[in-house]
Amino acid sequence: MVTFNRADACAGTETVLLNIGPQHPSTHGVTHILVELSGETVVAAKPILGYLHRGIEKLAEYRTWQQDLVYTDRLDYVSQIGNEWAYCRAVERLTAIEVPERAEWIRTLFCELNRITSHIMWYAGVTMDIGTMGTPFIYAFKARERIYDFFEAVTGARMMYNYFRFGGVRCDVAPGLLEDIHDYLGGEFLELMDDLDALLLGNEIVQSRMKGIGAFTTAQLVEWGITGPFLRASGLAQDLRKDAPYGAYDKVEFAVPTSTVSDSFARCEVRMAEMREAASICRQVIERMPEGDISVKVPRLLKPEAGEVYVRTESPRGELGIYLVSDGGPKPYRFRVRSPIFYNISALPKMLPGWKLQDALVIFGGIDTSMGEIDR
Amino acid sequence: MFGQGLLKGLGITFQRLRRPTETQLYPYQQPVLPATSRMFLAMYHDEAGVPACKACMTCQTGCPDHVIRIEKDTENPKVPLSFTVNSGRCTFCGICVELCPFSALHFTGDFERATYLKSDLIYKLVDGSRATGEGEGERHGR
Amino acid sequence: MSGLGWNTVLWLAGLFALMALTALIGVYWERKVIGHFQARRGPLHHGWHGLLQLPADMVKMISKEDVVPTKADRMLFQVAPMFVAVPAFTSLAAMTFMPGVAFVDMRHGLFFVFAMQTVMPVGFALIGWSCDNKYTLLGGLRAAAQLISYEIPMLLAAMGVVMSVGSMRLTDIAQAQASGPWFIVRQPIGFVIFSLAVLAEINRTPFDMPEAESELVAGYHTEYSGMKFGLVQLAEYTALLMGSYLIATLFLGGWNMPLLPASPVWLFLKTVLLMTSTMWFRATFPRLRVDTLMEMSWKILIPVALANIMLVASLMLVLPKRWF
Ligand code: SF4
Ligand code: SF4
Repeated sequence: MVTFNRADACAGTETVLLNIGPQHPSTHGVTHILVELSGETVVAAKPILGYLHRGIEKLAEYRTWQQDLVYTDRLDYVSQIGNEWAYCRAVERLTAIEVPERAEWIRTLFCELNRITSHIMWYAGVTMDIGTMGTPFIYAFKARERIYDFFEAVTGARMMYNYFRFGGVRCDVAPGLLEDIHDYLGGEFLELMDDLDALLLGNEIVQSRMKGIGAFTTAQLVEWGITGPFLRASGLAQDLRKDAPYGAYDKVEFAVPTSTVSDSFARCEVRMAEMREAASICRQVIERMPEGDISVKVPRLLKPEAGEVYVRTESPRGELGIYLVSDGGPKPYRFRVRSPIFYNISALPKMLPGWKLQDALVIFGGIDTSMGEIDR
Repeated sequence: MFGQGLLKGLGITFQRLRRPTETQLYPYQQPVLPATSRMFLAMYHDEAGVPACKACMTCQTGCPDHVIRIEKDTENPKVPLSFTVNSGRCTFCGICVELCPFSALHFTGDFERATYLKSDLIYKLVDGSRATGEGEGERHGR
Repeated sequence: MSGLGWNTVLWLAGLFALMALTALIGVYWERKVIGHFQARRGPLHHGWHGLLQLPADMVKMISKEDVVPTKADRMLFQVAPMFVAVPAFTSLAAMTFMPGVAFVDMRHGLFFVFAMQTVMPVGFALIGWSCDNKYTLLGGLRAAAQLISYEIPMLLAAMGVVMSVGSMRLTDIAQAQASGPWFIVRQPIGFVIFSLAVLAEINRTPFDMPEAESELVAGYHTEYSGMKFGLVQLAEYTALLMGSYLIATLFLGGWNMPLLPASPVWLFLKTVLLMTSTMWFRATFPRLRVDTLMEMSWKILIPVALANIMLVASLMLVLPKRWF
């Protein structure tokens, strides 16, 4: 049983334990948060994890290095390419495979496209959380569908791409498609973004519900191990794409959107700005993509030398790390994921108390959970 | 300012009334899938109807989910007697298609294979004379 | 008042039909309208543009199992929806469509409607309490609190109209706008307050806290299924109809139309338009927070409504009778 510290404030009255999730309209995936309410004020909160546990880390130990790639898509099923990239980078570092230049650019392109779709998923979730009927959600999903069409045309799948390969990508992108992506992101997408901005950031009801809600200091967030847009909204421009560049990130121009307000509204602003930045990165990548090979030859049965490696990447939710241990065999000895949301959601018991139930859901929406990665 | 954003929002939703809807009328109109779409597996056959598969077992060992089960002909090891796909376990990852040295496998655009029974998802791409049991699904436990 | 006899029976049948039709067509219309606002199409599969969805939903609602939670207070659980439904339906009786065409042309029609609506919070609180469920409890209490706090500005805003007409009979109020300008022009502040209060009163976005599905699953009717859920739904749509009707009658001239002959068609059109605009709001806006909602009522709407009454009263003294 879960034990809670009762706040002094509610002495004499009884508190109520309320389950938010696992089957609840506002939980993203199968999140389960047990909150203790005094009136409508949260006095304690506890996330309960494990509903989506598929044992991916263990499964990976029973499959070859190449086969594991299939499972990385399913970790964080809203930013699949990011996971593939993290895993591929880890294996490439372990085996010292060089990735051709063009492959790196293609990877950057698709990772950023994926960042947009992932943030759209957040947008959909957060607008539902604050109680719209799903209209901004559906408008945003139109963009997501368009981008998934591009993904499908290249990789053959809408969600589980399995597109990256050690030392490159599986197939090249047709020039016509690149132009389509460029046109879409430069025109229709930006128009849609204006609408989405107006429906979320410009809406006074949203402002009244989000401004000042969930205001934490940078020091607190750092102490809790928060990464990603949640941290950047507090003014700390910590972004691995800048701090430890990989792919083609050091060759394109982009800003790291930050805000100094550090409340729920600032988090929204940062994420909306990141979507625009990602679109601009994509367009730059398409404009400047070099010609060349898209992959190098890698033995069919990869046997890296014994050793271990930890690789960090910037997923749409924060720092995604992959830790691999090889014993020299055809299968990983250990496959471990440092999931950004796991650390973010672990801070919920510290974040939520003191806020109203409705505010708590807004704060929770700002974390942008994806249970697939937490429970693995 | 107060109210301005609300009015703008109302304007945005109102504009959508005039634009065409985004609904895909799926059962009435089939979606056009790109040629690369990874749906159900199929095998190439030559004109005489002989499957292109040479029973080299690469796909069976390469598949991460033990979807494919091949039985070789005992007299002629280059011919698959049966080639069973337990598509209920398939993740449509495409590794088998990529690995096949004879390019025998390919994906079709067919995605309408919903069934009531899991066992109906097991189908054969090559069906030899010998009646075989069900695919790997049996061994990996229901 | 109409006498007893066939006439009464006919009117009763009409009342019942109106109630059922509003709910059914209301649901269908809402799904279609919101669908199109969201760039979707709404119901499509059954019948012409999904029209058969209506009877299908009705049959489903009636034939569904009526689940009573084990720990619920059985008696209250069964009775509570009536406290919501009966007042909502009864208030329809005060509707007038033309001078002389009414279910019951009450001398205090407006008062009767408000009186009926005052009973509804009791029903919501009872529903919330009887289910022994935390979501319904929170939802029911929120609904009760919201309804009580928004009844006051609603009444106060209507008061301005009543003062200037000098009658609470809905026929008189609508007739008073036949010659002069509508009350939306004469008392714009009253109109805004009244519309906001009506929106809150019928639990529509952005004031749909009680049903707040993102935090309270489905609010007070989480545990209800089958026909009891149907009753609550019916009551909500009836309240929506009644609210739109009241705004149309009090502020938008009722059956009058400038330059055109008066006819119930105008009233119908205005009501439908108002109902549709609540759906438009629903498609666009998120919901407010509970405390903002309460603050809005007690700190903004009520003082402004009181000031509005003073304003109307002083203008009545100063300006010629025809204008006020
Ligand atoms: S697509 Fe993937 S999971 Fe399916 S049979 Fe081929 S290798 Fe196995
Ligand atoms: S890899 Fe190709 S040839 Fe070999 S068994 Fe599979 S389908 Fe047949």
